[in-house]
Amino acid sequence: MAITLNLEAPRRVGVEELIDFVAHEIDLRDPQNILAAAPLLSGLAEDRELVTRRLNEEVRRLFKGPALSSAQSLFLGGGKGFYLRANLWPPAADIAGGLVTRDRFSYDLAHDHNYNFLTVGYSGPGYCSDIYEYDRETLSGEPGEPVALRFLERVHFRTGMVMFYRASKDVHIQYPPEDLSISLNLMVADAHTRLRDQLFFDLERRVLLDYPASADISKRVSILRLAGRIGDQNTRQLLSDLASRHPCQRTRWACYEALAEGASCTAAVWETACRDPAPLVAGRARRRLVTLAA
Amino acid sequence: MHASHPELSHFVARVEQSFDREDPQSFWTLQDDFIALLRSGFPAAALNNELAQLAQNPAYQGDWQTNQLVLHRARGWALALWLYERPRRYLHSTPYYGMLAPLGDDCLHYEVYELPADHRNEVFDPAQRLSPAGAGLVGPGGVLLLHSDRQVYDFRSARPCVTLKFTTAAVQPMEWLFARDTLYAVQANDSTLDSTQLRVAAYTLGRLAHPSSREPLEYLSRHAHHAVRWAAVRNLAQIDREAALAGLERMSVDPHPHLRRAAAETLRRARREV
Repeated sequence: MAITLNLEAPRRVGVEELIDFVAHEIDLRDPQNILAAAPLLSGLAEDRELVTRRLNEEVRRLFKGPALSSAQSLFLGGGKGFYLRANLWPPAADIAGGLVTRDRFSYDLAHDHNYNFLTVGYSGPGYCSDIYEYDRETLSGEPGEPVALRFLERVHFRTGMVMFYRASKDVHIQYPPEDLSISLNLMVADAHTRLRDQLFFDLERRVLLDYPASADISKRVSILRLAGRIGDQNTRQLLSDLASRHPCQRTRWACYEALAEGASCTAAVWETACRDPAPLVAGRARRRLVTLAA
Repeated sequence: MHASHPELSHFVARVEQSFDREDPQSFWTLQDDFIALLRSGFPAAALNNELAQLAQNPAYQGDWQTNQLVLHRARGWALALWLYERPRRYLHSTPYYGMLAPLGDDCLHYEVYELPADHRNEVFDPAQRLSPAGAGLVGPGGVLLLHSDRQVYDFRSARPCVTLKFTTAAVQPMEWLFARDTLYAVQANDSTLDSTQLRVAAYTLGRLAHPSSREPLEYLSRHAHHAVRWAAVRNLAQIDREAALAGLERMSVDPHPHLRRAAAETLRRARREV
């Protein structure tokens, strides 16, 4: 389950020290190893002026420096395969009052993460979060597919608490806090995360809802769809190679769809796709063949 | 991408030579260069280049956005391949100038709407209504010029359609949304992410209320975007009442009517409290 850590009186740590520690001491592929960074992340939260200082700097340079493509997150720094951010959690009253816009903040949508991450409550009363777990290996990845979600706990993520979320295992849904709250996150962002999907869930129906449109894999699928529409003979060869070799099932499926766009015989494309090892790809291909035959 | 695509290098050089960021109208002088690029066969080659890199490195990621491959991004303009799929829920104004050219065999159908003659992009008004101004079609080899300061476009295509898209950075602060059924304005959003980031930053700094944020918020209260100015002054009040009142005084003659009104009302309330 998502791990809650109780750390006592951490010493104050700077962003540079934490980055240096993670860069040199942490194996980002090993969840247990990432946990070793928790005391330092907790120590970073002891710098009570960190977020003010960084926001002041961003305002002075009008967010023209390195930034994240979200108004909810403030980039604090990073290294190879990871970065640090502060996440803002405004209360429902401020959203309703128009002080901030709701669609900029990720509330009320159950999701997992395709990477491991550590988070510490930095300021404010903290948001509440319902946490579930699921077994990614049992899912084919088709939107609408039933998911065996197991409720674990409701957490009130208060200032000073540290939690570790496991990639593609823990699912959480966050609710707006009573007042503005801020968390600090250590995010793993190595190449491997670009091959694994993030998922949205419908808790009421207990099904896989969809994939985020802004996810790396969704963007890759977009590029493959472009290729299907305007590609030439070279494109077809490249798509064919990717369809047979790429490790991501949604990428392979997008390749087959792109190949079918310009194919003289689409049945041949779907027949090849039927031999894909992933049930998502093979199942979709079989359904296309059935539709063709109908 | 430039090294393997001399056509792109040539186009970039032409844009850098002719496009004056301080004069967005100069964008329109580049139509012939855009058409030359369109005819070069470059887009498919650029796409193949991305796929080849992906084949070499499965985790490779270029400058990819949802339904978009950015071919070149520079200060003030961008060139991209854009996949148009389906109409959006609302009619959206485009806060930038653009040139669009369908690729492959597809045609892009569109309907055009005129913005009201008294339209001011920065002043949201739900009474503003679009006027239908006809329909058109741009086919293979054709180019559609998006005069977005006067018109709103609603695209349609029988199937997903890839276009080569050459655009300026936002020339207007807001993107308006209009209801399809009534054609009345329903909402206006910031046209750039950094405007929203500045507003959220002002809000957060106000809540954190540290004295060191007084100067950054005063600086922000003179920002070009009216909503950023307002967020700055409003949140400055959490830190330094006198500085906020001075900001409100200045805002009572602000060029934006909503800000003038809100500043006057807030000043009245503040004086009553005293």
